[in-house]
Amino acid sequence: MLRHASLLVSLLAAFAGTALLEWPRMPLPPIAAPASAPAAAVTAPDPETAVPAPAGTGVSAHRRELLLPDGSYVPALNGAEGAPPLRLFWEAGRPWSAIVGVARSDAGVDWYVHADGSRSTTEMKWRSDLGRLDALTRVAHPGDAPPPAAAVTR
Amino acid sequence: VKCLSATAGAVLFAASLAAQYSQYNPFVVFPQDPERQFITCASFVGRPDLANAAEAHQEINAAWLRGVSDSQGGSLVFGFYHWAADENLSTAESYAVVLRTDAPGGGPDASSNGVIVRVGGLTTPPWPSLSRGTWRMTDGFATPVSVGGVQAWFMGIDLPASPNWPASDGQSLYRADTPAALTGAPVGEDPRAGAPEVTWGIVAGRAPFTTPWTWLMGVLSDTPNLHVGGLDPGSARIGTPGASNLGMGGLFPDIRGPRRDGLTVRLTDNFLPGSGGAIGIAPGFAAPHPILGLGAPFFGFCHIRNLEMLTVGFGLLNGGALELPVAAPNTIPTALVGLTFAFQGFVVTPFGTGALSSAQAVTF
Repeated sequence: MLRHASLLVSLLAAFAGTALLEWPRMPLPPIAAPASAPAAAVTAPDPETAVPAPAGTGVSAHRRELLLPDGSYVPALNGAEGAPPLRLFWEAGRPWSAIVGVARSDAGVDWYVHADGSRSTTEMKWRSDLGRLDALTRVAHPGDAPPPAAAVTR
Repeated sequence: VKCLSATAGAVLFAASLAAQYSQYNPFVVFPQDPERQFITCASFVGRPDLANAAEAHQEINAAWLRGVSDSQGGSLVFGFYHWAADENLSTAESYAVVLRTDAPGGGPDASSNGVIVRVGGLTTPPWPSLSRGTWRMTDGFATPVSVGGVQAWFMGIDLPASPNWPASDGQSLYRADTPAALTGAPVGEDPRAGAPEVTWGIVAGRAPFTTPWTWLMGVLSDTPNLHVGGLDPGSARIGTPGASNLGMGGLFPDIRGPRRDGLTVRLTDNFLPGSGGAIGIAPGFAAPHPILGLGAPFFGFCHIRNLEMLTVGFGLLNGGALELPVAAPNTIPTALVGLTFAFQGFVVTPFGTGALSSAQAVTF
């Protein structure tokens, strides 16, 4: 324990001047209410309808919206309810990129299109562990050309 | 007033940083850190079965890894991360995220009883091009998945049958082959000869089978990740000179001679990317137990014998990562062959609060 305590003291001294940060780990997101069936895909929303989050508004008021890293909300896509904030899944170190449109895939899923080419969406999917539908927030960042395909498997 | 002003400034600073960062941490077993390093070690993209539907899994065995996404002893999984290679980006590809428990004889339980969670019907997004490309996919859960009480669990992707792969379309995963795969890949994993294989395939009608590579995929964690890196100066398999192998090279380094790897250890955290971290080494794992910081109990449990711990070092997580040297190549005595050591770290704030990382064992 002594070793542990002295290490902590050293660390505190070393880092006192860096940043006074509260531990930002988030409490668990609220559990989404059961949904009877996935809702139909919504009409493609206008990203300009994004509005700043009003102060003091409860999470429940935004159950059908998606909180963006800049603090604004946009409508959740594909009928999702209770989707977790986008910033939790936006690639670390990647600057936030504004939404510039909505595209529907040939699978019938609507995706927000970001200025840097990233895509994001929300969906309700069946969770076998919960026995009900639950929301997902999904992010896809474009990458480089992949290495060659392997002709070998096992 | 000055004090209040400073406090308010600190809170505003913290809030802005928290809003800008605070992403979950993907836990992957792969030679390089896909969030912060340019990937040069990917041998191929591949599927666990060329054309048939199959699950690709990474084993999280308590003999090697503990405290992944630790939630006071158990694990909470907040989503899944993988790099999806698509042979034709204009068409959506589908997949499922699957977590499984272990079978009594080892390996994943391929039965329906072995499913911890299955989230199916996930698809890749549209892209206006017929070319092949990569999506770095993150699928985040509103409700985390609880994993615990097992010797090993398996995190994976279920790919559907894809008869046109790779000729014209289909999804595959980034992989790093070991030399034992005999694929001729110049880059990939670099464990010692005879190291156990840590990934699995599940195909209907067959027993689960191991695969001699690692996949670039893993669960999302809310606690820091720790990876031990193997340093083999005689190998160019990382594709980046001097870089340590954070996958199987760290799990199974070779010190038996004539190859004598060095070791590094890497702590990563997206919640406090500029904060301080420290890493310790102990003679082995311990039953999970809480540890007190100066400000409050640390988030997560300690999984190593902390009373016998030696400090490897500490420093700032530059860009969310702190990599420290443990031993240079050719310095670890061959007398340690057969012995096991365990590493764990923590990330700490100036208030003395913090979080413990995952823990990893190294058996020489």
